[in-house]
Amino acid sequence: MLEIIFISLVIGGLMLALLGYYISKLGLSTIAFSAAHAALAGAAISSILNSDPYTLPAILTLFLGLILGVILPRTSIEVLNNLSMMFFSLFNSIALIAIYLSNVVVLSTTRVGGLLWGSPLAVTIDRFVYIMILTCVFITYLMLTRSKLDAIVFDKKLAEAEGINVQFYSIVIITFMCIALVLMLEVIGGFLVFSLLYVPYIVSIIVTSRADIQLVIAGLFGAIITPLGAFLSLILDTPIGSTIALIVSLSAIIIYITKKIHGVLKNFI
Amino acid sequence: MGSLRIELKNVYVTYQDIERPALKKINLHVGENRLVVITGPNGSGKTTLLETCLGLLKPFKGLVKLLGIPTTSRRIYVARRQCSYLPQNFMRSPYESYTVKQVIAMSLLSIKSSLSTLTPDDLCRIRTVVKLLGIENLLSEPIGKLSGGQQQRVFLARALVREPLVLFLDEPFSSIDPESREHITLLINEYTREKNATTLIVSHIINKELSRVADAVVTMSNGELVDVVGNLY
Repeated sequence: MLEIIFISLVIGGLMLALLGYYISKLGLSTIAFSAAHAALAGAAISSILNSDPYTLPAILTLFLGLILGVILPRTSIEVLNNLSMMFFSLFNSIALIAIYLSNVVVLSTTRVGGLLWGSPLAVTIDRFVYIMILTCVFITYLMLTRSKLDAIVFDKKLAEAEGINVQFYSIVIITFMCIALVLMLEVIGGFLVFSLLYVPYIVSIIVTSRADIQLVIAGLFGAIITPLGAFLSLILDTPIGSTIALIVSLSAIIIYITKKIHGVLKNFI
Repeated sequence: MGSLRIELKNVYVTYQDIERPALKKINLHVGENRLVVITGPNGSGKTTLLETCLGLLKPFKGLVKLLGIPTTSRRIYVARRQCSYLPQNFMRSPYESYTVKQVIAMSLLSIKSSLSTLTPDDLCRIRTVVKLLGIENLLSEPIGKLSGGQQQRVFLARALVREPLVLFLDEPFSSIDPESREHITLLINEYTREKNATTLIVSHIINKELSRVADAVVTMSNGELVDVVGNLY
């Protein structure tokens, strides 16, 4: 089972990082933020109802993600950000009320613990299979549509003018992201899962300005740092999600400082 | 009369939260093998008109057709694949790392099916266009490192390499030095005639060469067409 958990963390980290690259480049970050909390609310309600951990989170996050994705081209970024933040507050409060309403004893169970700070025990065989399938489908999709996605990343408006349906490609990415969030939510923890979307991308832009290499760096970083954080959480006996997020964030800060020092030394020498 | 490539019938366009229409009562029909210049002062609606023709902005009243397809139809993407657009705000940040070749190739790959790569014919076309625009030695340079004039030539190359039926150029000479404007004007004119294309050029300055080759000059003011000189179709 340990191998399955390890592979799930490698593959899950890779998938979230690749998705995060496109989410950030396509300006969908606030949608991802609120979608992650919609999944959290769904998972919290599912835990009270003792239902399966996928259906309700998937319904809520896809519902929100797709609504915001449809609104996206029809509104300004400011309005979209405000809407996303409003939904973030709404679903966050629903999640916390649902956890509060559940029996206190339940708080110590794997399920609710997973919601809050993540748990490697949330990796079941079926979750492992879903993560593998989603990652394979997503990577195949990336290979098939890379040229179109590149054109959108380069210039959304120009891509639209040249006949690429930008909204369609954005909604597909949002859909992948919502499903990935649902699958990784209880492993990493609802409050920190989106850090695996953003931080690998941030690291990639610190390391290089080349867009084609950024995707590779973000993916590699996510795939390496996620199991490393989980391993450290086992050694230190700390919550898995917080430890992964801490390691991911600290690594990003160290890489940034190293790059700055390297730049200063290069100029000095 | 040749087939109409662009049709606007009694078109009104407005921006969100702004009551005053950006375009009012626009009637415009442009046929094939036509080079049309749209001019007018700042804020007169020239760029809005171009984006409306492409369907990037939808009219709240009236009908817009591009290559016979209404811009409100889902099939507009099919029409757009046969068009090229050079935007007014083309400047990339100094950190933009796509090379000139990648930027030009993107426009070709985006109209191809998935997993398609550039054919020898595509590469030949890219080489020809960049040579005509004098940027053949910049192909491996990151676009962000280029000057404004060089970047504008790259975007023009990107537009021409697709061999579009309709070419939308928004202020294509804004960063080009005066000596080169004539050469680029002639290049655009040659393309229009050779490919039987339709070219719409938004420009608030009309140079001598442009006024000589243009089939029609459309003047806009306050979102309205106030004057049309020449033949649109």
